[in-house]
Amino acid sequence: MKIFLTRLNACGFFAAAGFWSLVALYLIALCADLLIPYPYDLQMRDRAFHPPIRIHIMEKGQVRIPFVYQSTLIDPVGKKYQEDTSQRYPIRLFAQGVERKMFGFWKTDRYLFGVSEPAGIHLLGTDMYGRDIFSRIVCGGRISLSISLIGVILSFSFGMLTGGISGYFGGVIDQIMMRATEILMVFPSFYLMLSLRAIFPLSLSSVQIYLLIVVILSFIGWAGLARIIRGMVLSIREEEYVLAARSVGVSHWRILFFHILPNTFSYAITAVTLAVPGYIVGEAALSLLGIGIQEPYPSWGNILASTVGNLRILSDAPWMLLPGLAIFFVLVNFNLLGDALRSVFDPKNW
Amino acid sequence: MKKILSITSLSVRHRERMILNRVSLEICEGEVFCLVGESGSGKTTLALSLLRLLPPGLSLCGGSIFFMGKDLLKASAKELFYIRGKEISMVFQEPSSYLNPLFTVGYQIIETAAAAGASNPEEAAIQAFGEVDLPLKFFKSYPHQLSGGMQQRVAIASALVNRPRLLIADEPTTALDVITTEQILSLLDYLRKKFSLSVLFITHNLPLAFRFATKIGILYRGELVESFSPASQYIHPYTALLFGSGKNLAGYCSSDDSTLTGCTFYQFCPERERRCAEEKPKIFLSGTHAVQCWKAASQSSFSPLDRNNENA
Repeated sequence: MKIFLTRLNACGFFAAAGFWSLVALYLIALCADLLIPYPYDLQMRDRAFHPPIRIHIMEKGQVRIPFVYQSTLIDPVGKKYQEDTSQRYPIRLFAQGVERKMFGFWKTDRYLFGVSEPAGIHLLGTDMYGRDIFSRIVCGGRISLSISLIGVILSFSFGMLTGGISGYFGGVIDQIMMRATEILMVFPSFYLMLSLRAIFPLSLSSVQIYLLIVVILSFIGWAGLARIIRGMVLSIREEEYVLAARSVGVSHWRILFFHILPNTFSYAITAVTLAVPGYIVGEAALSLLGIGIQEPYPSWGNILASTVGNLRILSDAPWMLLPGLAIFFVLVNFNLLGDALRSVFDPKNW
Repeated sequence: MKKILSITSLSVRHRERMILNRVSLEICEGEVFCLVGESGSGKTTLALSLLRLLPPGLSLCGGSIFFMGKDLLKASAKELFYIRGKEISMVFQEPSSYLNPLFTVGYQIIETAAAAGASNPEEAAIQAFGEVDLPLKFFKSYPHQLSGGMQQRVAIASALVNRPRLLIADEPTTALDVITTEQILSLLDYLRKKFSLSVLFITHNLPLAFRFATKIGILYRGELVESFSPASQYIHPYTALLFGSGKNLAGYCSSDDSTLTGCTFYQFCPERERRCAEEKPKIFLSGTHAVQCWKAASQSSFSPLDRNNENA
């Protein structure tokens, strides 16, 4: 690990920045329940489409603990809010709020930060039901980030395995496996995704849907990789160190897994990191069409989905598009990391 | 001396073309058999067929290889597993491409030892590392961090870590400079004496073979035209050409004359006779000296070997 970090640092600032941003994002997603100021499904109907709250530190020329004002709805149709500056509501740590279950088992009414009612702390605004967007994005990250990671791991193990076996053993095995992958590849992936989803009933529990999406996404992702890995294995198996390994009696499977496939890692790792965004977008696309993660569970995809077809949201509540920014941020970081990992895993650079 | 390896009229073909044509040779315990020939004469093919690792497209079509009483051509995959790297191991020409770039050299030697089921592969690897005079600090280096000579030492260490009976060295010094060549050769010689190894040394450098070998075999276009001990006088005109190869030998292997009924070397032979064009030379034997040339017919010490009875 230490070696990995030194090498990563040697790859320049952006590589390290990409890596640490992702570590931070995954940590945030992991501890989502600790960080949010409201439960992700708490509806505050009187505060629908509240814009991101302003946090003040000055009052009448005096520096105070950061505080907010209560907002009052002055235009129920246009959703216009006005700050009521008569009373300050300082931001408190471990503030009391609605009782909720943390990590599914720990009942508590404390939040890492918050303000006392009737003021609200909506860092990134609220949606049409008055749910806190910040809390929803943080909790949605759990789903979007984990789906992409698990999906990518599944499909890449499968792709490496298929491509490796196919390329190394060749012959009939190769023919059968490659024709199978080609059948999968002839379908446009988005329609394949839709039809796979359509096989299963619409009313599934959220856990089932989650698993289903992971499986669907990884099922679509492996074919292209398998083809490329097969090609690489075809060329690597002619390398002389493979012959040398055979000449000392190393078995075929060991040669494949320990000598050939590791030599495809420099490509595969880059491809993995570049594919992760595809999974996030894939999940978002399914959710966008209403067949992915179901409300009230948030995912970056379905937060965005709620804005679709509603021009008023785009013009009056642009903060609803912030999950898109989150997706963008993750994609950029994965791309930076992918570039760096290629050189980190190449012994020639050590 | 005990015979370790005996190859009898081994033939290998690639489609219609014979890569090896009825090659017979024997290697005894502690012997260094130098196989000399130009590029394309079939040296490496011979070495690879010993390990049954011929590249796809090449097929064995006759002959037999007996290694310590076992017929390698009939050996099962399991038997081959116990022979490769344990009984017969190989050192290759270009060390940098024969080491996997992703693993430390130490790990690669350990793996070889582990493949043979060594009780303590790591210890065996470290010991082998010392035997080839490599400082232990390079044990955890990656192949590209070592020089060519050091890489070749690593290759030798991993070839010898399982104490094989026969070492095939396929042009182990071709990629190295003169001084490193000397070092590697003296190392091989030392290790050979230490472990009473038999060595099949493949080279295209005949003077080097003369210094190193106990027996020399000359391979020309897939035929072993002469095999002799360095002490005796060679007879075949091709051996003479190779030995004094200030001359340009290029093209000797490339021209195609599969229609030729006589000696394969006929076209280029400075001492050719009419008979050579018409009739394929027999193999003439004199003790351990074998030569496939009509020239030997006139020498009283040589007696012809009947090819048809060879397999008997």
